[in-house]
Amino acid sequence: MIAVDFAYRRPDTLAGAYELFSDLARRGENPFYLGGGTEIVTGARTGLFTPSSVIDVKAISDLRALAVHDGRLILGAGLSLREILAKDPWPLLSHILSRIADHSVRTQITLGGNLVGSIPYREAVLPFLLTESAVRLYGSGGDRWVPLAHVFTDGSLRLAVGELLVALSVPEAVTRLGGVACKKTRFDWVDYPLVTVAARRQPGRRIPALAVSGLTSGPFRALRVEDALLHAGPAEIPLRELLPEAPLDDRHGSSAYREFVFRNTLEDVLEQLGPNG
Amino acid sequence: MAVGQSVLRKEAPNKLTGRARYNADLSIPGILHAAVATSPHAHARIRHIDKAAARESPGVAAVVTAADAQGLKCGEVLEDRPPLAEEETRYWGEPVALVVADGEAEALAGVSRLSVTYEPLPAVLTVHEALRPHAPLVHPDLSGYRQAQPPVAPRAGTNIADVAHIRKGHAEEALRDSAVVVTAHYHLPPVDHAAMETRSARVEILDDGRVIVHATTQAPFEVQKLLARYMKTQQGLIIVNAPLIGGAFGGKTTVQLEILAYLASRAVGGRPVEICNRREQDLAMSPVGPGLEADMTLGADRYGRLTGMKLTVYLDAGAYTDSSPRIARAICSECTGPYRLEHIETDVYTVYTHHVYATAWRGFGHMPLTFVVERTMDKLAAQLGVDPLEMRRAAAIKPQDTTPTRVRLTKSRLGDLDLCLRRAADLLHWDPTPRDEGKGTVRAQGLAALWKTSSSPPNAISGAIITLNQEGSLNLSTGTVEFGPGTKTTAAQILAERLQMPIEQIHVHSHINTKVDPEHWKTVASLSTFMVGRAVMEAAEDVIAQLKQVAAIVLKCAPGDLEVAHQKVYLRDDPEIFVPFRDIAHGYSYPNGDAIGGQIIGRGSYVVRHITTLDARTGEGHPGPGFTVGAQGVEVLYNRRTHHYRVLTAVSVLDAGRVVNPQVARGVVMGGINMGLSYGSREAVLFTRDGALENPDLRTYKVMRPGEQALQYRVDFVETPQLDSPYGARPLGEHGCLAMPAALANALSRAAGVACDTLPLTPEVLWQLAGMREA
Ligand SMILES: Cc1cc2nc3c(=O)[nH]c(=O)nc-3n(C[C@H](O)[C@H](O)[C@H](O)COP(=O)(O)OP(=O)(O)OC[C@H]3O[C@@H](n4cnc5c(N)ncnc54)[C@H](O)[C@@H]3O)c2cc1C
Repeated sequence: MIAVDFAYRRPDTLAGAYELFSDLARRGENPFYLGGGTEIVTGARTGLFTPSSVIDVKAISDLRALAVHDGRLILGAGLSLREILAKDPWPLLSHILSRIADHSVRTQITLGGNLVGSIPYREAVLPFLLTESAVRLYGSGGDRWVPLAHVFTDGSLRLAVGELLVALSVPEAVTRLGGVACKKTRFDWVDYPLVTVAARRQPGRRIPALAVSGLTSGPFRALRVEDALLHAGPAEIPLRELLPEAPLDDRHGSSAYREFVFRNTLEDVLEQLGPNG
Repeated sequence: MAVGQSVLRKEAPNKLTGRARYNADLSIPGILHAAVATSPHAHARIRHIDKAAARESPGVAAVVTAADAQGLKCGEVLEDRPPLAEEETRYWGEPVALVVADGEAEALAGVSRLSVTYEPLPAVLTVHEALRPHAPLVHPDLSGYRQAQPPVAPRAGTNIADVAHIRKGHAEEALRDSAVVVTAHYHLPPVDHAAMETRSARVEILDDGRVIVHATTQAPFEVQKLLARYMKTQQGLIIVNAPLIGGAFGGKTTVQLEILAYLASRAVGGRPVEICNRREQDLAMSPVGPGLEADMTLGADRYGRLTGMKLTVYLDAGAYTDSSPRIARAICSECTGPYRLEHIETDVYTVYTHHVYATAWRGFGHMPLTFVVERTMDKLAAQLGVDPLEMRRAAAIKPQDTTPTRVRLTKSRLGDLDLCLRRAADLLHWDPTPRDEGKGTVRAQGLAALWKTSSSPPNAISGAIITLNQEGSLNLSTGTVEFGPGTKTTAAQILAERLQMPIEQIHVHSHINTKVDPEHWKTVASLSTFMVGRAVMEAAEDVIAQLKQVAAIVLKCAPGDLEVAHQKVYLRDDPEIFVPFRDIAHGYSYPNGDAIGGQIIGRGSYVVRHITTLDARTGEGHPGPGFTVGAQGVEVLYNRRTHHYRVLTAVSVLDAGRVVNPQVARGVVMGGINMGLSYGSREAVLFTRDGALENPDLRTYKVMRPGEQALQYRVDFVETPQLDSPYGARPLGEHGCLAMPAALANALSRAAGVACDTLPLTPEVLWQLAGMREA
């Protein structure tokens, strides 16, 4: 049960959503875009979130895209993880999504919500960090496609106020390449990650591309780890120097344990990808 | 006929289809809802509560604070708990005020408008901190509290709410003269009951003075008595209804929400008010199972015979005692584990901390106790270089031995531990040596033994009423609530067996109403089969006598010539001369219309016998009618590199006395195994450095999910009848979980070559222990 009243609106278009948001913000309200609502609802139950207005965007047609267009796979931010899993357009992505939350929650969580939400794992972004991905944004800067790497920095998606994440895209060819994902939790099958690593072979390189979630405060492409692995094994690389920040230290796992798990996971990932990984 | 058969549980079909009704499923038109403002501090002074904005919030009918409770203090043993925090809050999540409103949303909105000014105070968050000299006191007025159910021994000016002792023989000398002595320290965290159904209560105070309560309670008669006492009214005016319960595990023994709902109803002129815990509130505000710290020293002579022991336990009671002093005495009573020991020195301290308070949790302290004893037994076996199974068999307590509280044991009272151990070892294909399975994995086994008696009060009672329907079917009313283990069905089986009639013709009351159902002390301590069974047997005798009396007239014979079976009363020497129940159930009518007899109504009543409270100094006394012993084990596959593991096999052999319902017994034990392994491997109530609950929802409070359980269960029973129990049956409701954490820790200790003396055993804990070993 959510204690506070809030207004719910469901615009049909991107422009409608953005205008509504700007309008409400101008009037001093505190609007939120609503995806699957799992974060908003659970936050509102405990009083962490007190939205006065929510704007449900997940039904806007642009956010529901799931198609190949001009050689790129486009995935709408409003698709639920379950919907993406059912269509399975990109096995590596499915592999990652299938380990986020549990079946019932995955029918709610949206791709966009997972990337934008404040729960820091954002595991769905991992496969996108391994390749030339782009995101479609809608907001004060207009309706635009930008490279993911430009806007996904320091572990989160940098959106301007009121900006909507509309869709993501990757070269379709990439979706047919292999890749592996490895999620390690404190102990349970369904839990937040201690460490999740997604990896994909890179043409002409001995070491795969690596993207990591759970280890630090947000997901990142581990370029420096990739370089270091050219010279030393996962057990030997000077990890602390290679990470954007010290591993998290919380009830899921201590910093030192996360480091241990990360090294093991790297070993597993390299082994799974095989000698040419 | 019925005993020993896998009878379908009476409530099963409706549960299966979702038609079963639980407390919060019923909605009453016009009912008000109470929401609780809880403390955001582990310890704080309440400076001021500003009710105005909440009071004015739409739909709000009343705001209730401690001032409305007129100094009331609650508590099963020691009355130390105000229903709403008075001047201080003593745990994060403690109820501080209630907002009563037209709907739940309005009530919650009211809570958000309530402004409470707190002055945070230093908190004690571990038993160590609590026991330090000059530690902040959780209860400065400890000596002023009324002792509602002695014994309890609070120490004023400290955080020690109670101390209980066992002194038997000369432990000091026995240990001094021992060839081998092991000492270890154990730490076990508090644990949540995490029942599927959260706790709720509904109270209405009628104009004629009756108080109607509907609650998720294991103790409806306790609710009745306590409310009557607290509200200074007649017990007969308090009518408590307890519908089906969606899991309890001891968490529904504390009388908490019932009192809050009563205060809320009183504040709105007696209108019906409901209070239903949200999951977050159920975890934070309502009691948990106790954590503990323990030090155990155990000695053996050079032949491996146990010589003496010392045990000191610090129970983390949290902010209020609730049933902790009784749990402390239960730990004392069985402090040796199921082993023969003549020299014992045990002290169990109940320590206040600024944690959410503790109450009964499946096994009433026996799961942590079993962990402590069984880990120490394995250490001793390792020191002696003997097989831990053989050592347990040699040490097993036997008839004619005496318990720590000096109860002389008989075969009937105790059962057969040796047989359980041997059977469990067989089922596990016992091998104490870990086996390398390649790829850095190790397969290892662990065993642990258990025993438990009920630790019930000396005057616990139980009753049964049987009424006959005209057609000759029976209604059976008993005072136990139904939360899964099929107590109603068991009672019906016992009745069906005694009357030699089909169980389908016996109808049970699945909902308790204290006004019409006979009392059963509390549905706890796995005692239902025994106590209710005794009452049912007596009621059955009563019914049989009445049936025979009428039938003797009808059949023109002496009652002594008659037998009862198959819903008939017949001549022993010529069964073809009979009268069916349906002809006499509501009196017998002669062809001309005359009638004799009336409705047949049987009654049975039972009070436990020979139970005594424990002596304050030595612990001497008689804690329960009989024991259940058992042995459990696991086999794990452990990965040396990652420290991950999987429980491959879980084994349990309990001495059930007589298995009344094999399918249900297996189910109850398997559930227990899973609960024990869940606690052993992942569960813990965690607090932040400030004493806030760190995992207040089921996303973060981890219980085992389907798929994570042991790959295989092997559940078996031994049957050594308890002669004073119906058909010899022993309690087994709680026991399935008792030795599982210990067995798991013993297996993992062996697999990883470390000492697993804490829970939960997550891969990180094993990694840490392995790191310490290498350092
Ligand atoms: C039980 C459970 C388990 C979980 N386990 C995991 C896990 O294992 N790994 C993991 O990575 N995450 C996990 N999560 C986190 C989950 O993925 C995030 O909470 C995510 O935000 C939920 O998506 P949603 O669509 O429900 O978001 P919502 O609650 O709808 O929104 C979350 C936030 O994102 C914003 N938002 C949503 N859509 C858009 C959009 N298109 N454009 C701009 N802003 C938007 C909202 O305004 C809000 O601030 C779990 C969550 C739950 C409930």
